[in-house]
Amino acid sequence: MKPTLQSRRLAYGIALGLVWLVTYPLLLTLLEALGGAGAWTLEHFAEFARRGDEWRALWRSLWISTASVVLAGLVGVPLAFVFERTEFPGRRVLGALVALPVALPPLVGVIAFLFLYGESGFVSRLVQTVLGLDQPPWRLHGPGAILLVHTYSMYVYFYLFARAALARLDGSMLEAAAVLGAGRWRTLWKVTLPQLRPALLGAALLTFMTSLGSFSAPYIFAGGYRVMTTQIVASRVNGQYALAQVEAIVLALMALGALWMIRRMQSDETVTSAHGVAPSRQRIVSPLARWGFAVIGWSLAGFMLLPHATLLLISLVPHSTWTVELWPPVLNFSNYHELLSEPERLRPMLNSLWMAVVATGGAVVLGLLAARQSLRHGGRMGAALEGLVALPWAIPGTVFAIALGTAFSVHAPYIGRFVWIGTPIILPLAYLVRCLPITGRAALAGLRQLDPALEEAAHSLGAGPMRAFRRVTLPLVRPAVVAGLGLAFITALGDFVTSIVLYTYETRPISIEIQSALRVQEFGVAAVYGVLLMILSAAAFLVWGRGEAGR
Amino acid sequence: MDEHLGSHRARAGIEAVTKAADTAAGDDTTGEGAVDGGTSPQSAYLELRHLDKSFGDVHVLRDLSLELAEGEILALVGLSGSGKTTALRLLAGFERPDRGEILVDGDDVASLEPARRGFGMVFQHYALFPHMTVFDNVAFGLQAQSKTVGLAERVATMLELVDLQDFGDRKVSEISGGQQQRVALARALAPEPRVLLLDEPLSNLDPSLRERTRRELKAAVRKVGITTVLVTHEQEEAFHVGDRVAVLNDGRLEQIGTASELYRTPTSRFVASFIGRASRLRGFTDEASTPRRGLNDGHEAWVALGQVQDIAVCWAGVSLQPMAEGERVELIVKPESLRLASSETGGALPGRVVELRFTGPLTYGVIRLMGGEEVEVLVDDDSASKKGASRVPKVHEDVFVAPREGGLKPRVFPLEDGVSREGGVSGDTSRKDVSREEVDE
Repeated sequence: MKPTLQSRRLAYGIALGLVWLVTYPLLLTLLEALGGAGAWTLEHFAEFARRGDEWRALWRSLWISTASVVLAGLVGVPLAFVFERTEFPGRRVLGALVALPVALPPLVGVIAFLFLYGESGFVSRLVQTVLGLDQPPWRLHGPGAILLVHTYSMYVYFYLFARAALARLDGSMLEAAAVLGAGRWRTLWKVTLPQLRPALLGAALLTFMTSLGSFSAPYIFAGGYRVMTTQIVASRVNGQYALAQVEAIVLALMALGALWMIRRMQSDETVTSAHGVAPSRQRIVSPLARWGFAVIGWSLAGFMLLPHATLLLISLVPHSTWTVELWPPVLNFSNYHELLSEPERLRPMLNSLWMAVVATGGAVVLGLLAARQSLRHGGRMGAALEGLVALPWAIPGTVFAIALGTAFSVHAPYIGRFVWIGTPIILPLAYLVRCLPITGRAALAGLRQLDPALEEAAHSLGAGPMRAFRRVTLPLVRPAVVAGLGLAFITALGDFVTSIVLYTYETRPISIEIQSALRVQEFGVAAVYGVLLMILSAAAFLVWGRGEAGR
Repeated sequence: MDEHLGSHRARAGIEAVTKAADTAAGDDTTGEGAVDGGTSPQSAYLELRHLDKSFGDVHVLRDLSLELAEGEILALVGLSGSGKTTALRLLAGFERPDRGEILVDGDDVASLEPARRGFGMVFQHYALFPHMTVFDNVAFGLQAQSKTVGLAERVATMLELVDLQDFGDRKVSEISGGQQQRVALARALAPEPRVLLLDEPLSNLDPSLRERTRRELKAAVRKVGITTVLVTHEQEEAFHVGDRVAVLNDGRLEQIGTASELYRTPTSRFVASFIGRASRLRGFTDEASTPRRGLNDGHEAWVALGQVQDIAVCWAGVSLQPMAEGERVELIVKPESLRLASSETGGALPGRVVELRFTGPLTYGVIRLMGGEEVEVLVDDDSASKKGASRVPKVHEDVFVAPREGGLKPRVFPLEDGVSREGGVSGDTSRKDVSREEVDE
């Protein structure tokens, strides 16, 4: 239906709001990095260019992200083949378990790894005891540790994308290749993998962008080994605001450059929509091979679940009761008890909860409004709205934290700037911006799948716009929106990267509390927070999964 | 031959009788105008006046005017992109016309929101609300229009109308395509709309189901007696369901009339070749063999198609406008207005059978004439009977093509400039089978 004047006004209003929330802070950051009005200077950029450590951080961010893509692909794609193409006992359950790391907030994954493989972690204690070593066998430190965590948490992208693409593959295409005389390998290289290319590029893009913005792993594992994100936070903590702004701008440009490059590779694709039926799974017949697959599969799942299990165990170890033993001597609920009985300890939980609820709710409403207007208007307005909603996804969280900190530290209401830093407003706002791409995309996907004739049918039956939206559109996009909501909630709840820049003591979220507990060696308390975060995330993940299934 | 003609007429007669019976079986609210045939209804209930619509540079509707009597069913047919769907969307209010008026019972509704128009619509893919039950779907319009008094009874009545009284609790995903189609009709009719719009309502059904559903659809609409506009690309559907049929081409109304009028007396080249199957032949109006009175009175012209052994072969055709002698023209001939003959007598053209298409009751033959042009002919045992044995010719057999006496006249139109060769038979081999065109989405 043709947009009315009223809906055009609404679209402009939403676009303006998004510009203010998303692009305006970035623009202000650039302007201030250039000295600001009246004092234009390139000095800060020159300073950046002169410093060796800046270039090193830049280089590390780049190579670690690239290596993360390669490693995640090497783990994720073969797994996708195994679970999509073969049939063995336990395939369904394991197939779902393998996707679990995506449900773990980055910081929780990092501390779980620390407790498991760190110097005093389980595995290193075990190896040390078994081999009778004086020293821990390794130190979980530096780029190796970062890459380990990245691979663990990001292979899921490759796994999920490749599996979905394999499931969509037209089986008759493989049969055609076979009839034409191509062998297994030839078919794989010439037919299957080229068909997977768009999915693999999509996963690569997601992995690269996530690694580039990754903060928790470098921060916890590689204090001195700075990548761009940790460099930015360090500069800011040291009071070098202008330098932090320059670094943020450079990292943002790098992210946008990578996005542009990979998108260009994607646009070469000849998109074919297969209409056939996916090839049937190869049933593993030989009992030996069946058991082989089952054993490998279950140990893999065990490996995936080990960090979660470790976290749970550590949360049961009372403070300073576990020193050199292989297995903790005392296990009880004192850490939980402490947390629930001390209001000051409970506070981060409540903070995280209310801020995540507010931010997610805001992001859902804004995302839904923007998506609806984008599809209704189409053309340039539609593209602009879609782009604005998606932009925060491409910009690392650290950059947004710096940008919001810059924009909302000045009182100038007439140009849309307020002093919100240090108030309870800034963190939910930051979470909202970070969640917007998730909720916006989900809403877009849901609305796109909707037959426009449904709303027309409602109108022709006498329903006004509100009624049609409430009774027809909303119930039908609800699964998609709920899916986005769950994922957004996980993101907001576990956020560390923007929180560390923008938190105040009163509004400190769980992640900040985990970090301070780690600093004072209260591993049990950190683990309790981690477990609670994990449970909340798992609940949200289940909601998300149900939403996905409901599509 | 005459016998055959007789049977042809008889068939048409049966059609007319069936139509009348259908009408009689319906509600008595059906106005006289509904079956009045091609002439425009005496008092229009729904009126489209000079509708114009463009999307960007594309002019989709040009000055479209239509009138429907109360209770009349009008079928809109045309190729994809002809503007028929746009016309329907303008009626529904999903698009606004650039110019023109839409009157219902004298009120202009062109600027009303779809929700306030009181038009019911059955969508091509039904657009049933998948998250609601059959009952809730049918009740939706009543609730939206606050007609909640006696809601349950009304819904029940509607479900009974479409023979789905026991299906109220089902989810729409749990019923078959044909049942979904009927729910869509019940939903559209439940709030007692003033006008019913049907957008390709049967195109999503199995061919085997389509004919039965078509009958049921027509019966239900007749029973309610609602003024209805049906958009379809299936001529058969339009002919069966519509009291009158309007042919749209390139956004314009080509012709409106009863099915039989469109078939027998098409007034434009487009309608002549669009309705049914047709071949095109080229020739020129012939001086020598044209009866003096025929040529310029705009009714019947003799067309010379070529010379066979010094004999000019001429066919009589109905021409729609006065023509000069020797003018290049195009004949649009339906297969059923031609027959196979055993000799060149009676202005028959020699040719060779290149293809035979057996369709069950009828067989069509494609005959390549001397000049290379191909023409489609309805072949029956009767055609060949003069040869003695009653049989259908074989492919590659030499035959003669002659007009079926007393049959449908070919239509003659002036040929567009610069397309023909000099002299003789200038054959055009184009055959059209427009009934198989894609549905426009």
